[in-house]
Amino acid sequence: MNWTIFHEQVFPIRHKLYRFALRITGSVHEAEDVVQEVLEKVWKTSADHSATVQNWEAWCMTLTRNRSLDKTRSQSLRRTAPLENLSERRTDTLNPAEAAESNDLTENIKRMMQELPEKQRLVMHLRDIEELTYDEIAETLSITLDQVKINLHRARKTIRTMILERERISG
Amino acid sequence: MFQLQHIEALLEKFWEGDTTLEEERMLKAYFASGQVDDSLKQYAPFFQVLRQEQAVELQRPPVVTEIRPVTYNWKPWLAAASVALLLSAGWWWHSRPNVDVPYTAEVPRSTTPVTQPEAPVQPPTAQLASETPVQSTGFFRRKINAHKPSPTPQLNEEEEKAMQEIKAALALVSSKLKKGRQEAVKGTEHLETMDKVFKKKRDGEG
Repeated sequence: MNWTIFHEQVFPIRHKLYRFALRITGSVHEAEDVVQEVLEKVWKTSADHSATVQNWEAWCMTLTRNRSLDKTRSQSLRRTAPLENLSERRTDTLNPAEAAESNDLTENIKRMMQELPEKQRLVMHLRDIEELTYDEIAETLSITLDQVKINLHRARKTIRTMILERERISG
Repeated sequence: MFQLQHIEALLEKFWEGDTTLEEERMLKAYFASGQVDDSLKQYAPFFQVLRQEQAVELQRPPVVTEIRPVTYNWKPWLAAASVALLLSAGWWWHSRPNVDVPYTAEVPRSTTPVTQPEAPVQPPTAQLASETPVQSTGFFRRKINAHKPSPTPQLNEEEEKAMQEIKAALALVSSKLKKGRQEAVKGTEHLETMDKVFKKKRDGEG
């Protein structure tokens, strides 16, 4: 692996890889381990294989996804774990104004996002948080472009329905 | 400034999953501006969640050793080995004795009667060389009539006897193998017959 490529294209996306791993594993420690393993694997990639990689970010995201799913499946992490961990970490990044605005609705939205079916959850994460193109999402998740659009549409629709329902009840 | 109608239209497109990344960034900027219209305020927490998620960062710095991974670049070695092999083969080919002219040294000069007058005898080497002309083309030397059968060596009595014994032994082995094969064929036929008998018997019972 070329040190320059690693530092310019791979290392800067470590936070993105971490968020993606965190979204899948739901565990801060597991996600950190995943990032460590993925970066090591990328670094040890042979020169011949490196030459074949067109999009380092998409490739790293795919590795992260696979490793995270392996960890999740092997350890059978509970679905409730992600919410606690995500909330715990997020409070560090809130400024006072945002913290003040934070209410039950944001917590509900977080929970709803985390409880979406796996594909919808990952597509929504990659699009709305990581801002990947449809093509990049399809490549990362190894699904078709149509599946990306369908899953994104369903995920947003679910979230919107929940928001409107809550608005109707409270209003 | 954001126009409400434009934002509403974008928002509808967003929920349908039809917005571009640029339009989505515009929506995020609008909801982060703090000047959200009351009619859209119910969606603000969702975009707030997205902002919070985007701010999550890896706390534990990954450790990657800076030692370059060991890569064995075998191509130069392969090229060098190929060249060396080629040179060795060329040297061997060039320097090997010409096996097609083996009898030059064995021509028994002593058989020539000493009593004979000393006629200008051509050296045997030259004679044989004329029979089997050698084409010399620099690096490669090839005999032109290489396809000619080499002369059958003469065997003495002992060698002839040994040859006969070997032939007899091989004939014996061959005959045994032939007999064994015939027995095997017989055995197979016998088994097939028995199989048919059993089958008939089974069918009859059934």
